[in-house]
Amino acid sequence: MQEIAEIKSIEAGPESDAAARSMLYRYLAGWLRFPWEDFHKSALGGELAPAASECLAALPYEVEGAAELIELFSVVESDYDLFQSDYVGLFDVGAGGPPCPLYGGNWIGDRQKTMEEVLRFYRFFGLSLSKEERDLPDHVTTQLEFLHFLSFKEVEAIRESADVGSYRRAARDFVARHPARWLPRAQQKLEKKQAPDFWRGLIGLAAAYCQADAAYLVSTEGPVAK
Amino acid sequence: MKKLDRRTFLQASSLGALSLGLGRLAFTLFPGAPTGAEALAAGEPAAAGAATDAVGRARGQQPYWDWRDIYREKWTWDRVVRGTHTNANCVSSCAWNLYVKDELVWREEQASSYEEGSLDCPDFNPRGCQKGACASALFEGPTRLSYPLERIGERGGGRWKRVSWQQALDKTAEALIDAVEAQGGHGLIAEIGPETGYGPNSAAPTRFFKMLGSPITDSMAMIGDVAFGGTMTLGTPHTDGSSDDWFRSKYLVMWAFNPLSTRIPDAHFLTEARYGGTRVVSIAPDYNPTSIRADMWLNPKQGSDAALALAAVQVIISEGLHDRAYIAEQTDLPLLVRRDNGRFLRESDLREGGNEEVFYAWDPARSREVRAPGGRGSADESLSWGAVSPALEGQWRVRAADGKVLEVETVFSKLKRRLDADYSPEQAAGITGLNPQTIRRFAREFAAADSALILSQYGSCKHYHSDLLQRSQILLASVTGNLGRAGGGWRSGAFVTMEGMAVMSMKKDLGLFDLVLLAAQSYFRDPEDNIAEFSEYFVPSGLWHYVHGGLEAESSRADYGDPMLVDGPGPYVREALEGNWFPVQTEKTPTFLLSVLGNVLRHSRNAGRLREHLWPKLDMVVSIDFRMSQTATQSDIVLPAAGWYEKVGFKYIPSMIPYLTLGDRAVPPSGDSKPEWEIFHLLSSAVARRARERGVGVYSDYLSRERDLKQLDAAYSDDGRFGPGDEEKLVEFVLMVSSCAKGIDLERLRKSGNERLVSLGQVGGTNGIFSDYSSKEPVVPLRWFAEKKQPYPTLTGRQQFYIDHRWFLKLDEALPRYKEPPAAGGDYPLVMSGGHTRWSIHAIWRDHELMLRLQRGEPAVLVGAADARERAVKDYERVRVYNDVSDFTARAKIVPGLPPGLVIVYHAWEPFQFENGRSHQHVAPSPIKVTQLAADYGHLAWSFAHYEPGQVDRDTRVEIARLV
Repeated sequence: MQEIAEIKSIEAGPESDAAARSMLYRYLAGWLRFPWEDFHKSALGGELAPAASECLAALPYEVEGAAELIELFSVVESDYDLFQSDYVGLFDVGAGGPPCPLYGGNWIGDRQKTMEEVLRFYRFFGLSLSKEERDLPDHVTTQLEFLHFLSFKEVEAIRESADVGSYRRAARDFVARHPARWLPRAQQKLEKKQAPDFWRGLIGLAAAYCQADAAYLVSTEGPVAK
Repeated sequence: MKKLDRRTFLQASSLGALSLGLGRLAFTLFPGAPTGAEALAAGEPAAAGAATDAVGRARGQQPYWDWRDIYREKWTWDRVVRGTHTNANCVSSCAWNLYVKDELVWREEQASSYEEGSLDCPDFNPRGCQKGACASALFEGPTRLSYPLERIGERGGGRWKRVSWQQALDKTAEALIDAVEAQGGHGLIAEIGPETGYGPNSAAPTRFFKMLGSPITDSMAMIGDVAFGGTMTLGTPHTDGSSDDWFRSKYLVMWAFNPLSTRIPDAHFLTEARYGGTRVVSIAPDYNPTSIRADMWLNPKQGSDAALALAAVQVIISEGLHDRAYIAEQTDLPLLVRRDNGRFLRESDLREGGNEEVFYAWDPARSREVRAPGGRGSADESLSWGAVSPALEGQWRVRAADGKVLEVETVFSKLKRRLDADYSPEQAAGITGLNPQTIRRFAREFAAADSALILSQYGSCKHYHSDLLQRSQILLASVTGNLGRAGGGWRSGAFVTMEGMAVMSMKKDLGLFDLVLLAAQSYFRDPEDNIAEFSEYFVPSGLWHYVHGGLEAESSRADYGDPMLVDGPGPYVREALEGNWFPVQTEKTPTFLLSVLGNVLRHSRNAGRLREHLWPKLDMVVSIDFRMSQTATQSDIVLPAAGWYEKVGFKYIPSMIPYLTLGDRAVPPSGDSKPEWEIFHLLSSAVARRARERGVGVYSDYLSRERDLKQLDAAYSDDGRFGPGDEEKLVEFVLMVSSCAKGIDLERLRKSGNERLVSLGQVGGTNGIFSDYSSKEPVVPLRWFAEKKQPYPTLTGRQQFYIDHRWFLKLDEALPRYKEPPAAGGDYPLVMSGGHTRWSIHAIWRDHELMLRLQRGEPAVLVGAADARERAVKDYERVRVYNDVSDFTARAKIVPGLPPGLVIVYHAWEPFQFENGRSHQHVAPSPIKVTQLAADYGHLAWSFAHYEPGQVDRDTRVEIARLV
């Protein structure tokens, strides 16, 4: 993760609304990467729940069931090997593929089309896939990172009185057409599999948040074009 | 969630400031523009934002209104790269253009880059199939392995943790050293899949294990791909020409071969040939996609094909349609056989100290026996009889060295008597279920054709009596003079290597070869020595697993095999092992197994037995693969291999497609995956380092040669001349050393995609082709024999239809004959057959979503309508398929094209795709056939992919029952 830019002294109001959205996307993007040991320590240390709660509290809307989901991901497997093994077995590998791959195209169908579309979104906003941290464009982390970027740019645009609408409409379309569409299905799969609480909670929060954010952006920017 | 007001939130939270952090995404910068990070580092956050905007489209430049905006820009590619599917174990060698954007291959497109060869034939353009067309999706799909994994919990329990390469290699090295310390070279076993790739990544595992001096399973027979009839008759299991030669055939027989499904890139030659008047015959018990394209479909009862071939020969000989001159010159049919013991008349019979490998025919002009040219003991370098015109038929008397009178007759006489007694069309009709007039028509048409070609391929290798079937097929092609003729003969799918690959696989001193290329070329002047050296450290996989894998329990059961073997094959196996006819030691079982793109727990018949019997003895199982195969699921460590588009290699299948096709590295390896050359480089370094640290060094290898673990890295890398990232340098080396690629280098291949071969190379008598080569005509095998009269690599130096080995005589298989298929698995009413599938290359693509969508999407057992009705089974219902060995569950697929008594499960479903993890392979006992063990006889001797017991499944008997 590379720190690219910083906006200081966020103002209450639209700036803080967008900042909270941006920050939560950033958290979730990071938390759904492969869990290295430092993340495990943070999770064990109880750092995730307050961070998520802070953002959720500052959102301009409610995320349904968020408190219960946060409680779920407060239950952390203490053994690091088992903790990461849960992630590997749920999201990374398995006979015939993992039960719950974190690539949107696997859920939406027509993988190539999905990958093309998300890449088109990224490129429209001057982004491409990182060469240092290679993964496919439809991975949940990449998708949530893009939403973090759009909402960051929204804060920047507000501050500079520039066009905010482009970022908000793009976020609306992207979240509605991608993570808000497939993450709930991934969550259902984890429920069905009775996956460990931690991962059910995280995916569940990501799903609930994306759905809520999509609804919010539709309410302010109008519906997604057909 | 309790809401805070915004101001309270900002005061209390960390959100007083917001930073932009990106990991997976990066700015697409124009040259010269500062990166956001650079700007931030310079303390210019505003500039960082500006950098973003300099290339972003949103602010002020191109507003975003809705998602359709993102589609307004034309999709372009960053580059187009030449590619193929190097180690997919596919023989098709198809050239593709790979379209790359953002370091991902998004799509592939067939490249029509095959230079025109023969003007008489259609060209090879374009090549490809639906599997190759979605390989990019395969490598970006959910089954892809991208990180080293280590098992947690019990083996096969499905729990893994991600580990670093260093951790994975250290653990692997530690276990490998433990195994060597305990048992020397006997402590390890390598399972290398028959991947048919060429280039450094394909040679790497063989090189590693040869430098280590540990056994490598030769899996060709175990996967049922060795054509024993070819070995016995022609001295080579596999012989094949290029696919465009199909077009020149006037009578094309697809016998146990379904190219419309399994050789999609070549199938056009078949359909095009029909426009030229070629008559196409499909011989298969089921009405398959190739049968649909045929002019005549013959559907002999499953496993009765030898009777059809022999009946056709009977018709041809009895009607005088055979090619007498060809038979006399090319075959052993004029050779004399003693009537008292059934053995060839040998020089040792006629005089004291005479040669055991000199044989005789009868010269009617002089009314006496005459030495046959071409036998192994003969000094003749030609099959030509000169002035002699040997008798084909008759019985005579000769005087033996001890004064006894021996009655002799020709092989032809014996054959004709057998054919007339047992294989009239009417008798064959009783065996095959075909109409006698149909058999006659087939025989007459075959004999009358200017060129008749039997394409038998790998499907015919998987019957218990496949040797008898293939010997009968070859006999049919031979008596009509077709072997070695353009558009004619018998072809089984040749396996060919190249000098550079052989050198890289087995020679430590690559640098030396680099410097003295001339010496390298002279090394290959003795193909037999070369094959013998290449075969070192390979062990026959089927026999090895019979001994160490517990397969003996079912494979040796007398009631599953030939009823003539009252005690089963066990005593014969023991004799073969005690006689050291095969390099399988029985005392020590290894404790370390390394599988490299192999999948023995998928491909082995009776695979459940291996898991139960061998696996518990193994302290460490390591898999190197790009996908989670069945064997990988049962491993302790899994190392991720780079995909075909992520490394450099090429395809070289001159027996079918005489072109060298480049598979270039289009994109970097996914995640932490690595090319095999690099993996083994790192592993050899880890082993040598740990050996030095542990003070372990010198040991005795599998062939009792002294080795030093501390020197493994030096041996593998040729004293450091080739580093872990030297793939391209090695590709250049392989090309330079291989005469087939003379003048072709990587740069040239990158421009063209593929190049017509310059020659067929020198390895092993061109490995089953035995012909000179011209870039302007199709490859036709066996022309050295038919045209130059060179002796065949058989005991008699001829196409040898008579095998006078004592076991063959005892089993009455000295001549080709039909034997009823055994009841493998017990006395059940249905025969379960199989076949390669249209939707996968073995297990690759078998679990790929796009391919599964084109079929039922899960394992299916194909059942004929009558059998289904009888068992009240409806389409798509779950059925249990069972016999004495095991059972499995699958969906029934009712098909009208199957005869009663036959069910089919197509190839290569992974066991994990079935309920309970048991696949169709689990019910196949694969009885061992002893005529594949007689390795003390002339050309019947062990060498790599040449002669060793095979695994079979086409005779498996089962019953099916509907599951409620």
